[in-house]
Amino acid sequence: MINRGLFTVYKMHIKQQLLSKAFVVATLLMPVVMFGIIFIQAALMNISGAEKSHIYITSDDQNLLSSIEAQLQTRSEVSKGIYKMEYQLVSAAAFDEFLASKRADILANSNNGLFFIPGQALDDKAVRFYSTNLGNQILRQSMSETFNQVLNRDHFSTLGVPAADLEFAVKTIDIKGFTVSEHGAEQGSVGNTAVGFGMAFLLMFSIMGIVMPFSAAIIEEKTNRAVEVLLTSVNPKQLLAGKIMARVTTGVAQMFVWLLPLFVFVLFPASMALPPQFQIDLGPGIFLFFFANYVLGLCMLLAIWGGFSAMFDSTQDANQAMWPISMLMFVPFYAVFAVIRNPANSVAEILSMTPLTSLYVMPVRLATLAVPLWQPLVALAANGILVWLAIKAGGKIYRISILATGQQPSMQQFFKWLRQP
Amino acid sequence: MNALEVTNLTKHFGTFVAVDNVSFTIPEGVIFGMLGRNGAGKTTTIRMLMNIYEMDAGTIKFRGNRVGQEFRDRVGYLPEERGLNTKMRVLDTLLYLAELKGKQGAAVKDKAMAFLTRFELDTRTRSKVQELSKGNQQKIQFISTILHDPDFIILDEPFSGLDPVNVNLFKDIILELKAQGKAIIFSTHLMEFAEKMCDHIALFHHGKVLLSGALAEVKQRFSSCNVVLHYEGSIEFLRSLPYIRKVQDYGNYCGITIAQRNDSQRLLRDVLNHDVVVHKFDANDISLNDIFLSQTGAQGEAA
Ligand SMILES: Nc1ncnc2c1ncn2[C@@H]1O[C@H](COP(=O)(O)OP(=O)(O)O)[C@@H](O)[C@H]1O
Ligand SMILES: [Mg+2]
Repeated sequence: MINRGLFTVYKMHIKQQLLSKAFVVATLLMPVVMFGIIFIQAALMNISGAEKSHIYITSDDQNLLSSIEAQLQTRSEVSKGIYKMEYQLVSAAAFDEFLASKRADILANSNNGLFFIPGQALDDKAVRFYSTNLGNQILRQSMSETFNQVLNRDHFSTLGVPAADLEFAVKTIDIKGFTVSEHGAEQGSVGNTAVGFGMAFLLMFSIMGIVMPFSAAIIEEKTNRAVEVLLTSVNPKQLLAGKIMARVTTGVAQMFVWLLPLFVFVLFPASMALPPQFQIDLGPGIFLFFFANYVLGLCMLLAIWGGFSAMFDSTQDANQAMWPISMLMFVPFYAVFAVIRNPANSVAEILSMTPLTSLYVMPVRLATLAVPLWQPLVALAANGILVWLAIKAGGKIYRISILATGQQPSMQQFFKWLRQP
Repeated sequence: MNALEVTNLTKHFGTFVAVDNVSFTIPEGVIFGMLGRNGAGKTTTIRMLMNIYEMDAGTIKFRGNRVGQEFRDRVGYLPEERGLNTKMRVLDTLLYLAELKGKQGAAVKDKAMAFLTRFELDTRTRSKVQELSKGNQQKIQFISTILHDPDFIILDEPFSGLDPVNVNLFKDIILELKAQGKAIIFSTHLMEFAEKMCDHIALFHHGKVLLSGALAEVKQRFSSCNVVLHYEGSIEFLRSLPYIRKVQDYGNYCGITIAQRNDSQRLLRDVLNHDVVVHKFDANDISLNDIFLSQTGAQGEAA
């Protein structure tokens, strides 16, 4: 019977994989680590990403300095004490001396910094920033907003503009988002976006954990010669297919465990008292797509990875030679950055249908946009075709090289093999 | 009826011909020895039987039909390069390999335990294969070869790396399997084993089969004008006797080729006259090794 062997191989590997300590640890530890990272970050950082630091505000104009101080107190980074502020009146002549006295503190932490806002700024808005880390955009942005407000207010008040108008002029714009759908419009939420990116990350972790060790497993079976006996009972295709199927099953089980909390959110939205801006609103479609595409992606990568690994007699050789192939695993992940700024940009749209990148990009788009149905279907079809090719090529390479030991095949030989029927 | 018929089997590796137009037949219920020096092409032939290598030409028929999966399910195969998944447990390994051959359930497990007990490994069922010594790993692999009750057993150099006690244990089991009516192929470069155990042989040399058939017939074909002498003392004088063609001395026994059949009487007299103690004098007998040497004209590694 053709599939008895396949099933036996599958069963054995499932047992080996699902019951392995590594799997249990990875599956259970992963969510803990993820939440741990989020928790630690939240503890260190408020939502704007500001880091604990000392900030000196200096000016040669006492009025200006007081206005800035009053305005800064309204900022949450300052009122919560993330930025510890010190305000100092310093004349332009004494500034160098003052800076020298604070140099040690500025050097002590690269998030520390000193701003000098001369009275002249009321005319030219020129401000100086001293720090070891001029790339701290978060600090620069929040300060420049505040300085701008203060300078505008002072400037216009000297022109006799009424206070109420002034407040209007310096107020920053607040754009509230509403997602428009066929049923109407509702207040937007970052919950879906977070879920989309979270899924992309989990996918990355899972693919690494499932695909990377496949190489060592194949090479071990090859070098300890166990494969010769196996191949008298099953053919190489069945052997490889059984192994791949077992790993795919393991991956799906793992992903299911990881996404379990999310299913609870989606199925029982009432059970979660989430603030409206974190509301998660996802249909089952995204999960169907996600798992289907995940299975295809795993099949593809495992077939390629397993096939190529069989050519080598040691994991070192394999890792060295296969780094271009491992790019197939890592590079597509970076495609998610194409969607960060705008999930609906046309590059993202293409990447969400391109094989492999679609694994990461499409879920984010599905979570945040109303994507026409044909797009996920194209993504699935494209991956499906590639899976078919990968299995054909991987299976062939595996079949030919799994029993060949000693000399490694040359490029020429390799392509000759691929062309063989 | 023949269990296996191999005709015109050929295998190239690049330009090198590893197996060159090889034919032989194996009747049911015999022990068939594939003999030859290292590199003669035995393993390559066996791998083609097992469909591990694709043959370039030739046919292999099992009970009249071309070999396929059915054949491979009925075969127990012990490869020359032993190998098990070292991270699996002993009993799991045995059951997995048996299941791949379509045998599972309590009966197989009981049988596995019986074999493990016989090999004094019954306390190691939960050990990982890698925790066992090389010799014990070989035993596990041997058990896995026969556990699924194959009709046909192929053992590639089964005795290599075994201590004498285990060689005997393997031999006993092989003979038991033969008594159960199973056909057994084993390959070896050790002529002595073959001589003691085989019913049929094929002599491989440089990828060709020089001769094959029932051991008794082969021997008969080569034994006239040949004497096997088991002795104590010095037989150097033999080389100067005019009717002696050749002496192949193995220390305590030797093969002697004489000019004519009836020279054997003179030979016995001369040997006794030179105070050589004769333990056994076998006229018209020949050792497999002598046949091998006479056929290949080479100095064998066999002793
Ligand atoms: N995979 C292979 N690639 C190249 N040459 C091989 C391969 N397998 C065997 N050979 C060569 O074929 C010849 C026969 O080998 P083999 O069948 O293993 O001999 P035996 O088993 O009789 O010792 C040897 O010269 C060996 O080097
Ligand atoms: Mg050999």
